[in-house]
Amino acid sequence: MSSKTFTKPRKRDVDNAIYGVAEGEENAMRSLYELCGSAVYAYALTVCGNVYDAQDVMQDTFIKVYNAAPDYVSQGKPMSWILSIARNLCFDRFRLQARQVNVTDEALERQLGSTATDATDRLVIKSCLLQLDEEERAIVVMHAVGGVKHREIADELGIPLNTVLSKYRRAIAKLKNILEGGNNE
Amino acid sequence: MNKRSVERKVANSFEHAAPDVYQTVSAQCPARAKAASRKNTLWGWKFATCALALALVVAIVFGGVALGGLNGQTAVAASVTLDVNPSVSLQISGHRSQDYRVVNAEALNDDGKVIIGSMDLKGVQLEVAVNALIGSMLRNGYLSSLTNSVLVSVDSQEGEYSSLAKLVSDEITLKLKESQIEASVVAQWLDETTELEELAAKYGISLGKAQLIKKIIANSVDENYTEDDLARLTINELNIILSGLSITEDDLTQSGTASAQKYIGKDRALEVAFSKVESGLTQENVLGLNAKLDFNDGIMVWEVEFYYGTNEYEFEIGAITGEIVSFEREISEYVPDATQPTKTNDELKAIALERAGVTEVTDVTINIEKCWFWGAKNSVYSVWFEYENTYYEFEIDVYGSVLYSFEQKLDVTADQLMSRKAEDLRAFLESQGELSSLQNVRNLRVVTQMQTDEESGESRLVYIVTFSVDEVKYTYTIDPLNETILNKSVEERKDSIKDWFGDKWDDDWDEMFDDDYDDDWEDFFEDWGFHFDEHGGFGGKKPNNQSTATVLTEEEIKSYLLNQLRGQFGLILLEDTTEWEIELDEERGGGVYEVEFKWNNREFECDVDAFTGMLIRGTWDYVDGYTPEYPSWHHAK
Repeated sequence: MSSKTFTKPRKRDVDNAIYGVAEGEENAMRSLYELCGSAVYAYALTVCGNVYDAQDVMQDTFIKVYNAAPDYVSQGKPMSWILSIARNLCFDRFRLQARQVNVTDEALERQLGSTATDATDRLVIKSCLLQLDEEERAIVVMHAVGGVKHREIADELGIPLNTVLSKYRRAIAKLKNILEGGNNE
Repeated sequence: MNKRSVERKVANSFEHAAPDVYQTVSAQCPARAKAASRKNTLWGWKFATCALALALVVAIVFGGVALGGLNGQTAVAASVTLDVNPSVSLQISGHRSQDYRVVNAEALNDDGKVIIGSMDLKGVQLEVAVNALIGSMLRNGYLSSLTNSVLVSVDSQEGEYSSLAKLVSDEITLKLKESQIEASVVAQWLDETTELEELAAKYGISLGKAQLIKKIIANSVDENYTEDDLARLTINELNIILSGLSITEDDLTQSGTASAQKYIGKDRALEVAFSKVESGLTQENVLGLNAKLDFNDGIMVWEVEFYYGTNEYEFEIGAITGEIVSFEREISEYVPDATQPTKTNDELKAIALERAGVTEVTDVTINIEKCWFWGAKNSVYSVWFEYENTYYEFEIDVYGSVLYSFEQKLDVTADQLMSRKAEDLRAFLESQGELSSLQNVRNLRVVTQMQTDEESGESRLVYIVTFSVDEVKYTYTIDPLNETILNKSVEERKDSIKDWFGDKWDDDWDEMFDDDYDDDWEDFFEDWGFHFDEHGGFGGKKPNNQSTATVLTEEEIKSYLLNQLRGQFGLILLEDTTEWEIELDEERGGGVYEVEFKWNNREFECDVDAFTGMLIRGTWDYVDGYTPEYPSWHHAK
């Protein structure tokens, strides 16, 4: 995707883009993709654990959103809605393939190499996948990449809000430590 | 590296790593039949400003103005449309630095033809033309004290809009004033789009009315207004609806108040609503009262909302018939407590007199006012009286504890001071232009104090009035002898929350507030079990002054707790919960209940304030042996 600096997508923009897609507005799909693409990918990657599945899920998510858009009614949580679609697609894949995935540093390094050319980018992503636990990963990606509120995350994952907050804080601290060279595992 | 930069790193890394699958996606998402395009904002005129010559041609062609008529003036063409029900459009030339003159006047409907009649307005100054048209509308009965609204739609370049709108609005207001009618003018900048033209053509209305309708619909997402409904309404009715919305836009202004004389008054509407709920119910007994005229299901209605007991009520009352059109009641999330103890006036008097050290009193007027505080369970009473040249004032809570006391020898009699009743002070502030609407004022509290003037060193009696509107707390210092406002301060609620946290407030909290709650402090309070204090500010975790209170019963605790958990878990029905264990924690002074229960495969453990039912802290976990469905993969070690 583009290399410009990332800003968290704003709810209203995402909502508008979904409505635009529903109404057949020109460029609405493109804006939706630009607003949510990396969040969907990041989320899919953290759930699936490998780049290929994540890419497929990313594609399927947007197609599903496109199909569901005419019935979309905003409840003020557009990103949660999109990520829940992504999550269900991830779960479907797990069910279909009935497998347990082993994620290794080497595998990820190889898979990420094609798109993430920067070594720091790869380190950040690998750290999210290998050093954080399931919930931490989900929380970090939803909030930092998707701009989803902690409160919505709590609803979405069915865990208490303070747990979300403390996990988020802990996860960011871990990543900070890694990025500052404290632990490069 | 701080938290923010870690966050940004994470976001950027995924952004960079994400593959570009847009082509594949778009190939599978064929273009849908395009709905009517949405309204453009102001680009039309911005573009025109850049290409003035082109814009001029377009405007002239549209308005049918002959170029020769402009005669070398600063060449700007514009149009002003007046809508009441008659619609008249004036094409004008001129510039804000000179006179605007009418180039052509056109009736947009039959009533408009009646208004123009045989008047020839060509070449006339715009003010004069407006004066003549409004005069004609008055004579023909289109404007009166029953319908006092005029819609002014200006189609002009950006720079001309405000001066044109002001000129026309002022002229209308002045003209109606001559007939002792207070005008209400809605002025807007017209932004023509094909969509507007279609809407106007469909209902045979002016572009201006079409735009107003669109704006009302766009700004009232919760209402089910349709174009069909609104197109049938008069400008006065649309104006009434508009007053109920808070639209802040530079290019849409509203002056004066739309006449509601055709309809039953607010008092009558409240009476109808209150009598449905409980006989004898008055404004004093309810919380968060809000009443406004609105349009629903084809008729004008009074929309009345309030909290009473543990319920939230919503009424719609026919504005002409006075009959209840709809009525809803639901359990309130705020739970202002109907079962809280009360003190009778005699009890309050006794407490106040005892506190004042006054024993035998006759002929003393003791004022008692009950103040409700939203979000906290408690309300308080304000009690004040004058006895032997001394002024006494007390705030007494529902348990009889005195929260605030004031005693001062006066060199004036209390009669010389302005009324300190909350309602009168609100009206005073409104008359001073400090409050444009009383509707959202909450947690109003008045206390009397002696204040020393810094310059003169003299002390004087003042009223300190505090209240909140939305998330902002206001404090006014009022001189009750001269009826003047001495000082005013405004504090964002976040500041007072920060104060309460002190050192515990760190960047994480700050960020969480900004990220998660924006302006939605009610939600924050609900999520975290905080409350507003009796001053309308942040009250911390629980109210104090509970020493003489009695603890709540277990049933009350259950109901308060489940209500507070709604923010996070939605509605939890008592019958769905099991295995309650409620114990008063003696180690913590008997003020805290330790509560455990199970619901929906979850186990809850909470500490609840025994006096207020406020959730102090709580945790939950899934019951043993239950795992929610969540796929998992293992790290390769």
